[in-house]
Formats: sequence, structure tokens, C-alpha cells
Amino acid sequence: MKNKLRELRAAKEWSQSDLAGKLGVSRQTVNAIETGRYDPSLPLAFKLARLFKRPIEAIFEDNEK
Amino acid sequence: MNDKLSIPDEIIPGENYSFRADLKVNGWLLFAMATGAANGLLFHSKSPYGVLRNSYQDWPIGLRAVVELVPLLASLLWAWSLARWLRRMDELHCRITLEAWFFATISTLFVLSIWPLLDGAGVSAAVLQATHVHLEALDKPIFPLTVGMLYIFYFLGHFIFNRRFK
Repeated sequence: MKNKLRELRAAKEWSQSDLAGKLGVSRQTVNAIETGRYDPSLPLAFKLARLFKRPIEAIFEDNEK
Repeated sequence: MNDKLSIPDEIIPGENYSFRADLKVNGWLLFAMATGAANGLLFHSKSPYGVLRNSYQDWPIGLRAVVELVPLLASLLWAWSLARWLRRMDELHCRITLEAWFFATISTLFVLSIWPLLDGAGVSAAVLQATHVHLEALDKPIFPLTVGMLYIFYFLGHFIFNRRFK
């Protein structure tokens, strides 16, 4: 699944480790989400949405659209 | 409460390996293997190791059952410590570790199931003839051997599944 996580993180000037710390996950998880290799669970997607103050669909893009 | 996330690499030999974490996760497994090996050696082996083999038969049946069940109970405690370790992982690491354990379990079951068939086809005899190594014991479910195989397949599975998310 495509997402805008890298751009959103860069806009906040956070490193992957910073974001991982705020989400309570590992840096590898943040990297895997950003590169589209791993789709996060719904609770983690909601955490991201709350952190960036955007709806989930503004962060993640449905490939089937 | 310890909020530090568990990582799969902390029990895999390498730069992130932690003996303390490994002992916390696999301590009961080590105990199960040690007691299983000690039981086999002291109570079931022939001379010179099986020093209690003859007197063991005269022990009360309840006590003998307890002695035989100690490795099994330790294995259950190992499963519990493994589950606690998994619960402290983040979702990606948990997924990689579960996939690696699934791969390891299926592979070990496959090898244990296929071995008697290969042995029936004369593989043990052929290996003995070529290398003078006895493999007859492998057709019996030996606990340390099974665990060793499980871990080799786990490391292999972890390497394969972890690469997908690197």
C-alpha cells in the first residue's frame, strides 16, 4: 500500500527513530511502512493519523482505486 | 514495568545478541534439555553412564512419572516465556517471529516424519558405510535433537522472512 509517511515525517523534521519512538514501534517497522513493504495494523494506522492530525485515507492510498 | 520492546535479533547470534535476553526467553528450554539429557543418561543408558538404571526400576511409579515429566513441564514454562517475549514485540517483529516459528515447526515435523521413511530405504546403513557415523538414534524422537532442529530452522526462517522487510 502506498503512503505519504516519508513526506509527512520529513515535514516534521523527524528521523525514523523519532517517529518509531512516538509510535512505540521499532525503526525497522517505520522503514518497512515507508517503503511500502509492510501495511500497518488498524490500531497503528490510527496512531499515525492522530500523530499527523490527518484522516487515515490522507496518509495511506488504496492500491485498488 | 519494563516498556522496552523485544527484538528477534536479541536471541540470534550477531551484533544485537543479548545473553541476558536469551536466558530470559530460553532459560526454561535449557533446563528442559538438561533434565531430559540427564534423565536419559542416568536412568536409561547402559553402563558406565546409567548409574541409576537398575535402582530406578524399583522407585515408586509416581516418582518415576514426575522424573519423566520434568522436561515436559519445563517446556511448557518455556512456551510461556516465549509468549511473553512475543507480546513485548512490535507488530512487524511479532509477525516475522511467528512466521519463522511456523516455518521451523512445519520443517521440523516434516524432517521427523520423513526420516523413518528414508531410514527404511537404508539411508542410515548407507551413511554408516560411507562415513562410519551411526544415525540409528535419529529415528527416535530425541528431545535435544528436535529442539536443535527447531532452532536451526527458526534461524533460517527468521533470515528469510526478515529480509522481506529490510
